[in-house]
Amino acid sequence: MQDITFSENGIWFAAVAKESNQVVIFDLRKEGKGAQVKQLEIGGTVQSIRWDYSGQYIAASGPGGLSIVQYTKSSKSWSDVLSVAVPATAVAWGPEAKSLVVVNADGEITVLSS
Amino acid sequence: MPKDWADAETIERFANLSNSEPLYPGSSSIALNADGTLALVGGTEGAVGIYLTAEKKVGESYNAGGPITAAVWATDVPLVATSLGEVKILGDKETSFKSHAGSAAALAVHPSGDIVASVGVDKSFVFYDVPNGKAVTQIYTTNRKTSSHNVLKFNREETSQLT
Repeated sequence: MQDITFSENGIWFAAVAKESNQVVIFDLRKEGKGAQVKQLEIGGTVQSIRWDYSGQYIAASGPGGLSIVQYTKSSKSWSDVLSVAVPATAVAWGPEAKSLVVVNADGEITVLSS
Repeated sequence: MPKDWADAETIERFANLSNSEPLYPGSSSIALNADGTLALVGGTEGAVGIYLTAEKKVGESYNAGGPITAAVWATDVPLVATSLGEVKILGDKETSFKSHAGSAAALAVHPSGDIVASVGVDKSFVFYDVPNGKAVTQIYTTNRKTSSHNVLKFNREETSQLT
């Protein structure tokens, strides 16, 4: 495994294997095989995954860049929100998910916001 | 959705607001404090810094003595783990714990914000009482008695008190 992350609300668990571009998402309210609810295909190898505090967004980052996917409760669907060519080995969500602070392998810190 | 939370449109418009210099080569961890003003980062040379996200510069910096494997905030207290098996509370009350034989692989913060756990390649967990600067308990998970049990269960015979 490369990285694992729980959402704060206790609903989601996500995991990504080494050298993989696929993030597997589990709904912890379900049991057995039904718990694996989604496999996200990210545009490049993923090194780090992090849910925002509300559990609506997951950021997946790697040497090729960063993607953010949103879960919409009303339609129970996953949609790509953002994909940028900002390589990152680790990410951290800012307050209210209004920013993302990332670091890359060279130790450069980038703040993303709108 | 919590009231003032970012919506998809906000996130779609994320752009690179600022970039630092290459500060800590080999960084693989970053932790933001609750209000997003301080980013804790460290690299393979053991240098750790608290980057001020608004001012775009490093505030405090430290040397953790080993490659950084994890970084977290326990409320306002920064902690790092190294591949030499140490966990360090940084800041005014700097404290080092030589916790693990081999790398300290990960850190997690309890929702209370006062307790941190580390896990090592030595298959042990250590819990830290951060406000009091102490390692409280070390639990090994390789005892044959526990091998058939859920690894997250505590086995009292294996619990040792550390001062």
